[in-house]
This record gives sequence, structure tokens and C-alpha cells, in this order.
Amino acid sequence: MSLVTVSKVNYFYPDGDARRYILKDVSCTFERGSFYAILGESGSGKTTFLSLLGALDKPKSGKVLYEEQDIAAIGFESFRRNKIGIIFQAYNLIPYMTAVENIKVAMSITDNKLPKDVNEVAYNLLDYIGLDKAKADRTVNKLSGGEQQRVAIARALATNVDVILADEPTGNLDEDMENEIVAILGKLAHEHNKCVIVVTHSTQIAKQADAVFKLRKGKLEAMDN
Amino acid sequence: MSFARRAIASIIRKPGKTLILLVIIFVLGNIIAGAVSIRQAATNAQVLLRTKMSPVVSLGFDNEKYAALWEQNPALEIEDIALETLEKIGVSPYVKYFDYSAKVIGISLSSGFSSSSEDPTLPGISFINAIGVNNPEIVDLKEGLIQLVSGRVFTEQEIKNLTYVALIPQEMAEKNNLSVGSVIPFECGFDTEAEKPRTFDFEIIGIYRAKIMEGEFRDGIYAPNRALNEMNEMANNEVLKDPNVTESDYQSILETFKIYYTTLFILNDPTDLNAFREEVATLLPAYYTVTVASNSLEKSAAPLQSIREIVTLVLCVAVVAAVLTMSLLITLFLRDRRQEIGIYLSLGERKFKVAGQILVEIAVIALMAITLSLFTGNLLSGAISEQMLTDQMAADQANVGQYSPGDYAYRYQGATATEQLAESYTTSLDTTIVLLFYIIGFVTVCVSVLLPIFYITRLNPKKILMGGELEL
Repeated sequence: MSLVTVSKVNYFYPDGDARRYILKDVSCTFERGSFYAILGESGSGKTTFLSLLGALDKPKSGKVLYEEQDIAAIGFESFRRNKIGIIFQAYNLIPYMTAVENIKVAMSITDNKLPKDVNEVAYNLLDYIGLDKAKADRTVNKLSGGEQQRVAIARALATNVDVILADEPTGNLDEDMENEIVAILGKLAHEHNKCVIVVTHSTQIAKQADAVFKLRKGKLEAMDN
Repeated sequence: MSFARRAIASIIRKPGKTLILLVIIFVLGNIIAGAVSIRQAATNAQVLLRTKMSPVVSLGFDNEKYAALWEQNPALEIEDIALETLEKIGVSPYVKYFDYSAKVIGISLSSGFSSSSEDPTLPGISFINAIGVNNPEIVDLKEGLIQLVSGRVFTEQEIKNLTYVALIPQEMAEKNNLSVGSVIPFECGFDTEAEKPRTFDFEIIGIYRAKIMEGEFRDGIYAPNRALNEMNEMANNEVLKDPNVTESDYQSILETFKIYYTTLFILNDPTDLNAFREEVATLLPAYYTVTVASNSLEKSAAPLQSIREIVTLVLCVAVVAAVLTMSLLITLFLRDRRQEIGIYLSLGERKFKVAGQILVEIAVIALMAITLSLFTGNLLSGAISEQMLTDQMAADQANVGQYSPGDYAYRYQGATATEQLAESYTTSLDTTIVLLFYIIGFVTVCVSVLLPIFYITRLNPKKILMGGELEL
């Protein structure tokens, strides 16, 4: 059974009487334990596709299924809260909070069952992705871009979800940092059995992915990796 | 990290915005607190005045009305108010206490006795004012103008039958070494070759102390109307014994020294005044009117009512201003925080919890500001309302009806009203004010966050975090 199934999804903007399709009849499946890269040029609909997978938007037609259940039936808010973690290019952390508090915010929002000592879990997660306690206790705007993206990854993991979605996670990082982040994402898929779906321009990420799709003219095409 | 904790973190870690909001709520809170405090103090004072003071009215002659009636009918004669009519008015359901008083001023004490009003040109003669009473319980005592130091009040029999008994002031008792049971001799009549004044021995049944009564009645004696009447009549009859007095002189003397009564009605409730006026109008000749003593509740409460109306308006304006200012300010602050809100929403946070976080933030800041302004607003209101009260009392004093010193209601007029009003009006922080202020404050805050909450419900995390226009 596929973890996430995209079934004949269409997304368009009205353009006068016509429609400008961003995604047209897109179908695909995503499995646990795999690292997926979705490539595409700017404006190809990569972010729209990710926002549909992340229940940040609704398809005009078609369905996104999670364990064969329509995410609309689960509830978009509930789906975001309990089934997925999203990593953004701009990190999107709460600036006046520390790294560990950012993790705890996500843990307080989810309905998933988590260990009682959220503090310890948060510190351990940050430690796992390479942030020591001193940095974990800093407000996030005092951390570097790479460190902030690690916090964002830890936050996505903190709610014990199966699907990690990432929108250009290395777009603001240098090459060394990009490699580190990609390694972490690969580890999440392969060692922690997560379904990691990354939307990117980066061929470096695509090289590390188990499966690569390319969005072109609203169509999602599987590529040889 | 629950939404409440997030709210606290936001308050602490964004001190600039917290301070701006705190100062604005504090300033608006001062206006609201001041208005609430003044309004409540005015309301409390009205209630207190109602318990302290009953409306005091009297029946008076209306010169203007009489003149108008006389022009229509020059044969119109002034009719005295019959005692039966007074008695009928006295049993009205609007009347708490009623009395009428024979107006006898200046009876002399026999030599050897002294009062506080001695005439240096007439050595050895002391004059005293007599206050006739028909109500044995003495209305002045009931209304707290005097206090019984020793003895008792009159009995029904003493009032009905011709009994020479009196209540005298403490000062006179001390000065003349008198006590309850002693006899005080009053002289009445003319000391001429043909006749000597008659002496009336009044038994002292009680000694009183004037509490808030001012003026010449402060040291008067209370005696039954009938006794005073009798004394007056006998004095008038003595005149006839003088062979030099003609019949016309005698009639003139009778007219001059005729006993007449002044009235006093203490009403149950100030709201009864108009109904009482209407009822009385049907029983009296048209040229009589109901006059209100200056310290009646209607008059005394007038400045309070004016203050209440002014501050109620101020309160309404301040609340509307607070709602508008806070709504716009919070919405403006939220626009700055839309990314943060987008993050919460992208993490799946429920919108009502995001709204709850904002509400908690505003409520905590408001609680601090409101608590501070409660004290400062109360201090300010004390100073402001003192000035307002003085101005209003001065303005209202001009409209007060005046009585002549011999009138019964005169004793209820004057400084006592101002004193009682000033005593009753205090801008202290009592439970009602605190509760009322917090309720108004928090209702204002809750209404103020409606617009910001509406703003939150319109936010779309995709548009905030992944680009796109923000819609309000």
C-alpha cells in the first residue's frame, strides 16, 4: 500500500474564460523509506504540487490520498498537524523563540502520541541533526542559515510523522551545507523509514534521491536516476 | 508549548510592542477608570443621600400665582390653610413624617435665667425661640437634626391637651443648671403700668443637642403647638386690659401677633415629589405651592446627576475610542506577525487557538495596563470630580428655593446639604468599581480583538509562506 497517492490531480488558475493549468492529470505514488526529488524549472508548478501534498491548498479536481484515504476527508488542518512535516526554503521558524522552543511548538500542536518529556526529545532531535544544547537554547535568528534549516528539519520530525515534505530546502545554503542537509534527509528516509519528498532545482539532491520526477508543462514525469 | 505559553513568550520577548500596547491601554484605561470611578461615586452618593436625606418639602405662598389670580379677581382674599387640610395632607402615602409648627419667636425667660441670645440693651432679659410641634416624636429628632441627650419626647396627650412641657437645648440646661423635671418659667405679655407679663412654667421633659442644625433655632425650645398658642392668646388678651388700647389697635395687635403655622413634610422617596405635588394641588388654594428645601435629595442630587450624565458620555466615548484604537493597533501588529501565524497554521494549529494566543497576549497586557490605570485613574478622578462637584453645586445652588428663618423647613436648608453631599461623595476603590472597571475593560478588549480575529481567519498559510498576495 502506497503511503501517499496522487490521483488525477488538476490545478489551474482562471485566465479569462480559459484556464491556465499548473498541474494536469497528475498521478503518482510515494512510499515509506524512500527519498523523492521533484525537479522542474521555475514556474513549472513544483511549489503548487508540494502545497497540494502538504494540504496547504486544495486541488481543483482529483485527490491526494494518505494510506488510501482522501486527505480532504482527514481534514486539511488535521492532516498537516498529524501526518506530515514541511521544511521551507526560508526556514519559517518563529524568530523570537529558541531552537528548542520552535520544536516544542510543533510538538504541542500535533495530536500524535509523543514521549512525555518533550524537552528531552526536542534536545535529542536537535542533537541528532547536529545542533548542540548551547545552540538549541539560542533564539533562531542568532543561528546561521544552515543551522536554522536543521532546526526546521528537526521540527518536521518532532511530531513523529511519516511524510517529510521539503520545498527547496537547500536553496539558501552553500554547497557544503547543502550536502549535509541532503545527507540528513537521506538518512531520514533510509534509516527512519520516512517518506521524504523534496521539491528542488538542485541536481545534487536529485542524485541522492531514490526516485526523481520532473514537472514539465503541468505533467509529472518519472526520470531515470 | 501551549498557545498560552506562546502568548507569554511573545509578550516578554517583544518588549517594544508590548510597551506600546501597554501604554495605549493604560492611557485609555485611565479615562475609562476615571469615568467608571466618578460615575460609581456619583451613584453611590445618590444612594447614600437617599438613605441619609429624605426630600423635605413645605407649603408656601406663591406670590406670582396670587398676583395673577388677583388681577382676574381683585376681590380674591387670602385663605389660610386649615389645620384639617394639613392633617389630610400629612396622612398622604408619600409622606414619611409630617409636622406643623406654631411660629413664635422671641419669648422671654424670667430673670435669673439666661439663653445664648441675650440683648445687651435689655439687661436681665433673655429671649428664646420656641418651636411648636404637633408630632410628639419630633421630626427634627427623627431626621437626625437633633439628638436627645436626656429625658424623652412628647406624648400624644401632652400634644393634644394643654400641657406646658418642653425640650430644651443642652447649652441652656448647663448654663442654668437645669435638668429633666426642672421647671423653666417663660414670661409672656407686656410689662406696663397696667399689666404685668404672665409667667408660664414649662416642665423640662427632655434635653437635646443640635447636631447639624444651624442658625437661630439651634438653641430653641420644643413645645407643643397648643401650649404656645395658648401663651400667645393670653398675651393678646392681656392687651385688652390696657384702657389706652382701642378696638382697632387691638385688631391690629391680633393680626400682628396672630399665630400661624409653617409646615414640614418629609417624603418617603424623592421620586414621590411630583405625585405629592399633584395630590396637594387638589387640596390647597391655587396660590399655595409645594416648595422644596435646598438639601432635599432632588436638589442635592442634582449635581451628582449632572456629573453622572457627563461621565457616562465620557465613558461611552472612551470605550468606543478604545475599541477602535486597539482594533486597528492589534490588526497592524498582526500584519507584522503574519509569517508567525502562517507557521502555526502550516503546522496544523487550529485557527481558534491562534486567535486564543492573540487574545491571551492582549488580555495579559490589558490586565497589567488596566490594573495600573485602575489606581491612577481613581486618583485622577478624585481630583477631577472634586472640581466638577464644586462647579455643579455652585450652579445648582442658584436654583434653590429660600425660606424665611421662622419656617420649619428653614432648618433643613443650607450648609447641611453641601456637607452631606460632600460626605457622601467619595471616589474610593470599592469592589463594585473594581469589578465594573474590569468587566468594562475586558469587554472592550474582547470587542477590540474581533477585527484581528477576523483577520486571522482570512489568513492562508500557503500564501504567507510560499508567496502570493495577502488578502484581508
